[in-house]
Amino acid sequence: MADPVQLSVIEAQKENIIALPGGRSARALAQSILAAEDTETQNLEHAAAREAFENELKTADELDDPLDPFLRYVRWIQETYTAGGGRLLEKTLYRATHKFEDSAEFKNDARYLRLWMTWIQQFSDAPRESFAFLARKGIGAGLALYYEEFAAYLESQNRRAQAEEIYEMGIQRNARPVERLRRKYDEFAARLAANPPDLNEPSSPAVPIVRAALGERRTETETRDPQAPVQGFGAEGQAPQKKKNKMMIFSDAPGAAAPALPAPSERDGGWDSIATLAERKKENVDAPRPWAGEILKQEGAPAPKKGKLQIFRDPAAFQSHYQEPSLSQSGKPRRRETVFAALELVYMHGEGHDECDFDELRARSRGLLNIDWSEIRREDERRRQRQQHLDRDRARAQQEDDMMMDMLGSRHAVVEKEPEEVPDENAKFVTKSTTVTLALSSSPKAKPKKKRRSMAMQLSTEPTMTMHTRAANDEIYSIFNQPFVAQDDFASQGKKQESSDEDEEDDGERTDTMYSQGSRAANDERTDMLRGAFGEDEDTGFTAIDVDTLRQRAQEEGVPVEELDRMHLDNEDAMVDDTMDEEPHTIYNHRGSRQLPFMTPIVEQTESLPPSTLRGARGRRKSTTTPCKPGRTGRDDALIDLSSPFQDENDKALPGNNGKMAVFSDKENIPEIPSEKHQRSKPTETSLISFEDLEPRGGAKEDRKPAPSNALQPKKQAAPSSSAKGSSGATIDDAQCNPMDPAVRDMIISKLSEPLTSFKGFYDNSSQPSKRSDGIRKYIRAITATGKDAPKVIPSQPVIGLENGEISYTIRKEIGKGAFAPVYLAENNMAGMYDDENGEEETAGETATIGISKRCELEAIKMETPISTWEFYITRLAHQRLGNHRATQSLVNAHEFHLFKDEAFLVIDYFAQGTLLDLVNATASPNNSLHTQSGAMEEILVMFFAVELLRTVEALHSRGILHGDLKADNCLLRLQPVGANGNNPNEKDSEWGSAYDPEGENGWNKKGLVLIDFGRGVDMHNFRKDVGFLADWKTDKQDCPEMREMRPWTYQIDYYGVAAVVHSMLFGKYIETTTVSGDNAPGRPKRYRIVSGMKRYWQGEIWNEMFDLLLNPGMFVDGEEGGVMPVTKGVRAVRQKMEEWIVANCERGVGLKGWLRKVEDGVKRRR
Amino acid sequence: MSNNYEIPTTISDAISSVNYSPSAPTTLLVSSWDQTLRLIDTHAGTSGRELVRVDASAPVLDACFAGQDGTKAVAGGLDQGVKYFDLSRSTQTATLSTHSSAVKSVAYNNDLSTIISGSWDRSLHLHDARTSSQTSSHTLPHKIFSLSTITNKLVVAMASRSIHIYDLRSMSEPLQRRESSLKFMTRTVRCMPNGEGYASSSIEGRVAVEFFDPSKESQSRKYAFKCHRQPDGDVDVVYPVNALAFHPTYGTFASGGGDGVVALWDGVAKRRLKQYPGYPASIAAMGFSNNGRYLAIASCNGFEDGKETVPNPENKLFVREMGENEAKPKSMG
Repeated sequence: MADPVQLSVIEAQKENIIALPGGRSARALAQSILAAEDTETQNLEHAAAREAFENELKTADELDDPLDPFLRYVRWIQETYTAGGGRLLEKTLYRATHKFEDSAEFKNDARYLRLWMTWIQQFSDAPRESFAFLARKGIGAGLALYYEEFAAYLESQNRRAQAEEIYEMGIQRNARPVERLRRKYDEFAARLAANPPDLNEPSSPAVPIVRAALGERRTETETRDPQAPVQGFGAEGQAPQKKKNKMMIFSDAPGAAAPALPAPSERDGGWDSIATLAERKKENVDAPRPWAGEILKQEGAPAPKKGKLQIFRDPAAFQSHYQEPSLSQSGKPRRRETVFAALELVYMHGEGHDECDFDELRARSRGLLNIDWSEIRREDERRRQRQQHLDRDRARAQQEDDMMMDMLGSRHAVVEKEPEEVPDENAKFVTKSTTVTLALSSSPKAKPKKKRRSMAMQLSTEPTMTMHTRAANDEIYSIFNQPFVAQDDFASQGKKQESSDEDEEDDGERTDTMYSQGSRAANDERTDMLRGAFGEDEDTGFTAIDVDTLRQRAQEEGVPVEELDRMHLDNEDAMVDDTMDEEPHTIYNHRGSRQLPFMTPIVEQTESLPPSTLRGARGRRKSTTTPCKPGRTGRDDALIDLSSPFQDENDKALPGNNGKMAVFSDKENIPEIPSEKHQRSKPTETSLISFEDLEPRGGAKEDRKPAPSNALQPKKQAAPSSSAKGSSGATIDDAQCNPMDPAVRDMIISKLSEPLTSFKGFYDNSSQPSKRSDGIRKYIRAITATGKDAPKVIPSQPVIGLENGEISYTIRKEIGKGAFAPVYLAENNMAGMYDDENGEEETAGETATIGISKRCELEAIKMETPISTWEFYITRLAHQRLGNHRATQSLVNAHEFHLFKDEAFLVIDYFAQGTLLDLVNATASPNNSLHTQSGAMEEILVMFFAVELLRTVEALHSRGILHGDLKADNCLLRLQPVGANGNNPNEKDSEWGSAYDPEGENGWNKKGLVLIDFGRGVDMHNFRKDVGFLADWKTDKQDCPEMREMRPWTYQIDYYGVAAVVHSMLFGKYIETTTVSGDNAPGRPKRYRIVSGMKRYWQGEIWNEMFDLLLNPGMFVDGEEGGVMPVTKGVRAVRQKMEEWIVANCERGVGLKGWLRKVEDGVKRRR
Repeated sequence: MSNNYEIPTTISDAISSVNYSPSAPTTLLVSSWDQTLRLIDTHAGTSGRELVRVDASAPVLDACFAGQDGTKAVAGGLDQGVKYFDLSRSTQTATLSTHSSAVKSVAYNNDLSTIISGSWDRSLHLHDARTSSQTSSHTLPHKIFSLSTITNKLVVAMASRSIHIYDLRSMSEPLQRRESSLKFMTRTVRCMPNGEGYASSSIEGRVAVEFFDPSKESQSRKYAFKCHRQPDGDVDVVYPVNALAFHPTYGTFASGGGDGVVALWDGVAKRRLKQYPGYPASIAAMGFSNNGRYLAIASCNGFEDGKETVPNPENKLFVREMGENEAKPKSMG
């Protein structure tokens, strides 16, 4: 007797044993498992055994039972290869089954059928079709096994109704053993009763049969009957309970299906090729032949559908209902037609949604569609009330004003009439001229309402003027740097009000706050005005004019020079000169020397009209209240302006009821006045509109009043670049474009009102080659080379002399290597010399010095080949736009730009502490002192940097700048020493408070980040409001989803960038996002979230809110100004939450200060 | 025969509507995207005298006279308000009501002294012109594109080719709900002066003429026809029909298309009476004078192709003086 089988052997291997329907011999199993341990012997043995079988098979035909060798062979394979016979088994089974598939004697042989079942179970990729095949061949038709297996299979596929059919069919056929079949059927029926079939199940009784036959063909094209529930190829695994019956045969084969079956030889081919697609296709091609009749029908069926094509059916259907009049269709053959209208726009919202009218499209394209008019109306109402209130307060000033005007008016022989009290409804009716921040005129009602009121006049009544002194300047800076003031505060008086106004302007929010208007908007107006004055129709035409030309032309045309000047001056020029009160001339003097004081925003308290109308009026409204102070310059008597307020009256005094009046549009307005008063006429003005003099004063007043205010409105954002581009006069008027396209950039640069060359620090040597790069590269190669490549003599450090040696840098080493732009650490040989110069500039009030901080000994030089001036420009622009905003500290300075024919050098700040990426990597690297257990940065540190990032991005966005390339390696650490003597290590950080201060007090503003590499920056002011950008580069996971999905984007690029940076700090790995499941129903915008999960103890709520906002900014625009991006308010809200948390937790444990110190020390050590 | 001349204007943006005064045959009310409402004397010679100009706070999408004396007007535009103007005082006197989206169309029914406004917010507001107050508001299923009213009927053309016909005296339910006979978006709808029916036009070069009477016999009279197509090689370019205007006495009507062509049709005989090609740009709006002598035609970029040049150079106003029998149906001899 044999030893008992060692079950432990089997146990250890059980996962490698494939189950056989009939079970396995434990002994055989144990043997083969043990044998398997001796691979070599085993292989030899197996080979021998296989050969024996093969020999036997060769002569099988001569045997009484030719099936027997196959059965034994298969049995042997199964037992020997416990893990399944694989290819060998498949091949053998294939040979066995197909050899006898047409032999009548085996049709009802259970052994043969079992081979089939094994094959189907393990190797068929479409079991149902295989069963169908058997049915067709009649194999197993009399055996219960077939029906049982088939039914079981169908049941496993949730086709229980069909399974039932199969059972019934088998019983009806009396397949043996019919008792067992009955029993199985009863069991099935019980299961069915317990769990009734779902209505959705395929239930049609005849279908399975017919479909199975057709399905077989289909499988070969489509692999599966479309009706079948997804039936993976793994379905064979369920085989043990699956094959039962041949239902197919009975309904299908006897009738149409049987004759249609391919010849056995073809079938062979089909089975043969089960694994290869090509083979299957080949058979597929054959198959249609026998089915010709059926197929033709099917192909014919779609044909009538062609008739349903809309083009043809339309007229047909049409004519059935309508008589076509003979006139339009005189029996001519129908011609092809193409619809002129942009149907894709009209039906842009797709079926089931309302289409868009052309007017709506126009409004949309002009960006007028999403204006929140209700807010405007509310604001209007508020303003009106406020105005009434202020009226009383100002009664006195008004009187004085009137007196003065009378005086001046008489001098010019113009009669000033007191306007009558404005009826309420008129006050409410807002004319478009209301757009601009109004100049502070002391008397809203009783004053002349002419737009072109002179600036001097305005000033004369301006109570809040300050001297243009350094102190005043500083004060104004401080005003600008105050946090944003809610608009409710506007009611407060005086300077505060102005400042908040200005502040809003900063934020570029110009829709509904009453006094706010983006200076960009104001620029629009100006642009309009100028364009009008110059008779230039092209939007872009104007911007190309350079300043001097402008000024010159302005003088010719009577456009005030200060108007132009202001366009080029920066925000800090918010000064009002007291002296102007009496001596308007001083203005010019100041301006002439380009040191002129700038006006604080002078806000008219009285009749401000909804600034938002501005938007509505964007671009081409006719009466934009541009500052009309015509005749100001170019005339020796500045007082001429003063006449303008009376111009109105003058006009009215003309004979006739419809006395001629100046049109209120700026375009016409400017020329108009001269035509009347100064014999300068333009053809257009002469035929201008006449007003009935019945027109109530109120209406007129509103029309004209705001103009001067505009004139006084300092252009806070009027950086050289932005001045000439308004939203309407966007430099790039494409709805979609690639903002990084060099052509686009060139155009923007070329349209700068102040050419790049006039920027301080821009050295244009583009005519001469530099050839400096070779020396640098050589040196860098030399010092970095190691081993035998290393030169014996290190070349001396290259010195780049520029501007005839006035500026020179000594290259130290390479600190960064972009694809095109290596960055070198350089010693600024002139560092000491800048201080004085800088001081001078400051006193001179030179705007260009903004953002240019003190020069350092060590600076970075970015060598740009191919040459691109863009980074320099956009960096400067960002500084100018941000002015003294705290976030300016977080932008890298572009000190100088040296442009040569072949290369260019950009001199920027050098920060030795490395990038955020370095920090993240240091944290993750086990050998570093900064390493943490988790490999990721401390949460409070991450939040600190996140706040810094968000603040900077928020500030940039609110001023229309995109960084465009935010990533951890573009964020440099800025952990500067705090304290009076920061360089002394002992006193270092002496004044650095341990309690975090969100406002940057106690030295906290010295700690943060610096954004570098604005090479992909975008100035949104150059583009249309509704612009969408498209990226033409290859995108990856570090690009925002919009970009990856080829959808247009704007601010998303930065939001995603911030999210990516924060993610890498928080998790120590690159960001990965996914859509929120269940939320991406078609038609709804996708919502993204990060893949990584928060740690339990993290501030998940804050982080999730931040990521949600940054990844899906488009879903948070509701609360924003105008309901469009940037989501500045949302970002601010998140940031404030973070700041609160940091404040509350900064002194816990190591404390934020402690962590930052650690980082500081760590990065120092690393260097 | 007919005399066509251009009216010089200072209108600086696309014209949205032109309406002749009900009282004076040469006074034309023009609304425009340049945010103005103007009253222009079309027969003041080459000067094109502008009688009144009122500024609105946003582009005006439609305007009409409110009353028979030609001194009051109502307008609606992107600022969502229905504004009431006293033209004799060149001023807005009231905001009748406020929609929650731009007001696309306004109409005045003289019989009932009712001002109707329709907006993209899918609502219809009714106002009493005598008291300048809103009387009711009705929500419709789609954006409203065009309104026209005659006797006591109001035809509202909406998006999704939906057309409702109301009896202004009982606005709670539409008299009839119809689907436009035209396959594409309805552009404009105008009622026949005899009150029997209306014509509607689509953006795909077709005009349908339909009748109010729901009887089968009457409905069988409705028809549609193709127009405003220009051959371009072997393809016909089909232009939108932007404007329709019925002749006040003859009942013939003019259609103006995106192709810059105005055609005059005899709706009864189903014949084209005249075609006036050669307007410089898309026809945006048209209107017959009260005596039927003049047809005002506004031609400007219609944004049909989703494009416009800035500024719009072909922004012009024309008047066509009709010959004695020019607009007379042939059947009437």
